[in-house]
Amino acid sequence: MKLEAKGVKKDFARGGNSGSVLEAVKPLDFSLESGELVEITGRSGSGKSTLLSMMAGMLVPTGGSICIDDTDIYSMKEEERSRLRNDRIGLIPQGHTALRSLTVLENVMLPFVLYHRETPPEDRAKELLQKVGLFDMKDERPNALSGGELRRMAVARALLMKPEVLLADEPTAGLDDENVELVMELLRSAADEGASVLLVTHENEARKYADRVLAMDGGRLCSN
Amino acid sequence: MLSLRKIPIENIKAHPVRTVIVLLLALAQAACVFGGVMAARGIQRNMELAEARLGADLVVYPKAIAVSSKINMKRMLMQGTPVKVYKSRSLLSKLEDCGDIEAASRQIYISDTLPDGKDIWIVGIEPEKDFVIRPWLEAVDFAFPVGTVAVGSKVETTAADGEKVTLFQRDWAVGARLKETGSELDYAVFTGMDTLSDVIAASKAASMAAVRYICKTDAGLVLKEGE
Repeated sequence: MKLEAKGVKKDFARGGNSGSVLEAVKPLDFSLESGELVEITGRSGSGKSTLLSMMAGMLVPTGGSICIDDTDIYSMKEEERSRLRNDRIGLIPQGHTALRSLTVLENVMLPFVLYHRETPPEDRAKELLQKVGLFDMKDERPNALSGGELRRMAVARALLMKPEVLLADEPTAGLDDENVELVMELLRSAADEGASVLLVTHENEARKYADRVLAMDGGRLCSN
Repeated sequence: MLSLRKIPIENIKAHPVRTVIVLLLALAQAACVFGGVMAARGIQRNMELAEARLGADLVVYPKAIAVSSKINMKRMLMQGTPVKVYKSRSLLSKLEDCGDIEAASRQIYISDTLPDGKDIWIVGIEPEKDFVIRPWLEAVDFAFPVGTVAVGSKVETTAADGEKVTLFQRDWAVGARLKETGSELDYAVFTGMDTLSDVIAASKAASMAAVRYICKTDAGLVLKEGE
């Protein structure tokens, strides 16, 4: 499966009445192949998270298109796009996104229940929790987890549906070296199993797992 | 088992204080909306009632009366002062045929003199067509059944054996009362046309009784003189 950005750009209107816009992402082309792990680095505000959000189908670009297997995902209806995200795209967003009212295990199973009425794949969720080292905490509430543990839980949740595309926004932020290694190995193994993995990070340790490393600066994407 | 339906329930259970606060806020908001709607409806209803109570836009009266200024036109229209003039009933059908007139209704005024010497107006209306008096009724759906009258807010009635008002020496059941109008209608009695016929018949009977009484008195005097 191929995820491709064609001439994609994103402008944000600046506050006030000046009418000026901020070009968060300037027109760029980018593609992500199956089995490939691509890392995008850059300073804060360089546009990398904006690009990732557009690739995830969550932020409508100002121009250009995002295609999955030659289908422009923004030509789909919102409902179809949401279903596609759930079925084929795993997303590890920035920050902590766990539901505090559910247990860690339930949080990991959450993507499944959004569109399925069958019994959630508990074994798969437990297996992933085992991989990220959170199995013993599966019945805890997220507020009992540290920041690093919450990030690992988010990784497990993103991998639950065996996504064809995995998009990770700072997945290793706040993790110690050991956990960075753990998470990166998980992402690498997802790519090795055929997923297309796009990683936005500041961590230098991630480079050794990437097939390609790109840099963003001022909304422009360039090879690093 | 985790399901989409379970998530909000779990969320509610996990945050009881927040849930109670949100619920109270939602209820308060709903109460505000409901209260606002009710207030708006009440205002609208009162506006409609006030508009209806403005009564007729036109009062038709004989031209000769206006020329001779026997009556104060402003008082007649604004104060509801009864007048002792009339137009023939055929005029009403002519008015009803006029496309610019939405509704027309006639009234007949007669009066009685109360024991204290004050006059009381009795206004006959067409209950099914009336739009002048009905908006002032406390019970707007009062049907003016035969033999039953409505009275102005300041009309004195007797309460024994049901509320009644005495007209031409006969008691009439009071079925409804008008709200205070601030006009002379507060001291008037209102009837349907059928009841008004009965009232007029009662007035004739009362007149005959008075005449007979005078005659008897005169005869008595004659006899006395004869003695």
